Amino acid sequence: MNLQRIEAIVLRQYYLLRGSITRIFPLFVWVVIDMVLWGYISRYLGSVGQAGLNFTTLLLGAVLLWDFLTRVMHGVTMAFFEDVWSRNFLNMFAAPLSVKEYIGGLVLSSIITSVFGLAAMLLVAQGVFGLSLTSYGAVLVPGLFTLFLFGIALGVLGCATVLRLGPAAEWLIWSVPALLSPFACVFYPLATLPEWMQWASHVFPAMYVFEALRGNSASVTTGLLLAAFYVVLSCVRTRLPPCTGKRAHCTLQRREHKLMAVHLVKLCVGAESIQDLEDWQNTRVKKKQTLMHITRNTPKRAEEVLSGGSLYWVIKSFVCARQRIIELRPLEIDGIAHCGLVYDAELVRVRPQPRRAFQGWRYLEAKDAPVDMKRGSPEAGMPEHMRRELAELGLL
Amino acid sequence: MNPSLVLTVSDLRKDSRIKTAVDGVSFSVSRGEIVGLLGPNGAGKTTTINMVLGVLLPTSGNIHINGVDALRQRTKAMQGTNFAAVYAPLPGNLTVLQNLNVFGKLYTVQKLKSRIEEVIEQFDLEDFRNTKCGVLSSGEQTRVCLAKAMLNKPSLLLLDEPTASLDPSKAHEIREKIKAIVAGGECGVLWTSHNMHEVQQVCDRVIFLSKGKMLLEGDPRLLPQQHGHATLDDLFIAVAREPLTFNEA
Repeated sequence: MNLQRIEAIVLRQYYLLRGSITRIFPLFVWVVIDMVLWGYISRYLGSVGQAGLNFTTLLLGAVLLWDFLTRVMHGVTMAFFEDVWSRNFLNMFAAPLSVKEYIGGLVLSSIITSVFGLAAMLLVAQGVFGLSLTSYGAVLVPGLFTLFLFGIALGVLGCATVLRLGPAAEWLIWSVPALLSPFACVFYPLATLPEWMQWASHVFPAMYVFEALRGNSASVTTGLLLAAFYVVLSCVRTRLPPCTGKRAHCTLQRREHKLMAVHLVKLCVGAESIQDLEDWQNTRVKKKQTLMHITRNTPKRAEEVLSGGSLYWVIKSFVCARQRIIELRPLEIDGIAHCGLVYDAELVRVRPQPRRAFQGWRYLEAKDAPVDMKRGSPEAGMPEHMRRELAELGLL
Repeated sequence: MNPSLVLTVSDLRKDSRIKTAVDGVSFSVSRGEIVGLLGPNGAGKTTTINMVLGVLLPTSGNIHINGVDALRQRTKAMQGTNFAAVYAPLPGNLTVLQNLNVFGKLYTVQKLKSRIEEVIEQFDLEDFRNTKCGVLSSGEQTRVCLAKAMLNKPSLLLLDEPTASLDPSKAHEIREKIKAIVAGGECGVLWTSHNMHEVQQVCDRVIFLSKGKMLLEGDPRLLPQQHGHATLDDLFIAVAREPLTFNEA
């Protein structure tokens, strides 16, 4: 491992943070809002609840520690997403950077950002609501370390998930802490959960920490060992011989290709509207027929087309909709080789883009492709003819 | 191993689920030489470059960069290599200086500050040093990419269509800069382009690929006549239309 290359990864994050208030803002603001919100909830419950129960330690402390884990995880994934969003993998991994060094840089970035988040939370929780973490006793330090390791493991797992499933899996990564929180027993003892959830909770190191902090019998050492195991497991690819991370490079490259997929564009002959196309395709689906366009010209850029490319339909001089191409099927018709462009049934409406008539199909580079219309957006709700007219006037 | 060779590729092959992208390709690049890698879309040029860069694992074959086995000692091999491509601009959310600083550290460049100043001057980027790359024109972005590519004074430079987005004047300027660098005798270049005029002007030798196979190799100024074509453009079209049978034709 070369420290200068790890420093480069951290330096990139530093430059991004330094130059952007919108990146600094989330490091502090959401966790501080959480502290304020839960601080007042704890205070209120303390005033109406049972004497002897310290809601500030019970609730606010738990929220603080859970937010710390979330910050650590997001610290890793955010740094990684910056490279996804700026399509920087090819440049990064064309350099002598190994996957281990890259992950090392992400983890170091996360440590720095999460320490700032933790400091902000402590400032509010202690200064405003009088939370004293020392009241947790000796389990606090190993507990914090366990949560830190588990956060790192989740972060690396999140990066691996996006590499495996593509950038669309990003939404899943943000929700991971929320999905795990019921099992982590952040606010209630393990015994509160039904039996099957209790069993499931045992695989989450955070559960051991929160149980131990509440003074229950769970061993924080078990949690620590489990978290360390998950870190090793999540980084295992970088440890596989010959330790050059070539497999991971391949995956990165495939994802890079996915981002650079090439599309095809074709006239939808006979259709007057997207509805016509949809109706025609629904009929085929009902008859259990494959949705496929047959052409004599097999796309030579097959790999790029199949790396997330779509077939864009031109209806009445506008590119109007697209369908994901899922297979290029070799066919033989009357002894002549043909290609079946097999596409997904989901018809995605796109912002209308003028297109002159042409024969057959053409490649459509990703940068030139019209954007999808978001469901529920005002333009998606417009009648198709109105969208066309607005597009013709350059208003859409 | 011949010490003048900066890149030796032997029997390189890449199979994917749907096709063989590169099929038994072998070639070499020497110091002070610009080798053009030509072929129609999907011929396997970018796949070959990605395998040389170590971002794609070959199915079989060997790659040696400066005598170092790039598949076994990737980090060492990449230390003396660099890359620029029109489809891989540097992150647009960092300034020119920040990008050069980050990539200089990734390539562990010695005396980085002074080296950055040298490439900024070499590629005429003085006015943009604190400008975010995302707001630069394509020509300026290409110059930044090339500045990054020259940071570590590579002995092997891989250029994938480096002038594709430039106007003729800027493209000419970039070509001259690269030719001057190569004339120093320390650097070999593997250059892909679809501009046959550019290839004839720049490359000492060209390799034609089609459907992953190597079809022709030779001097771009002599090859067309040797194969009965008036220009390199005509030869390119012939190769693209009659893949895999060209040698027998």
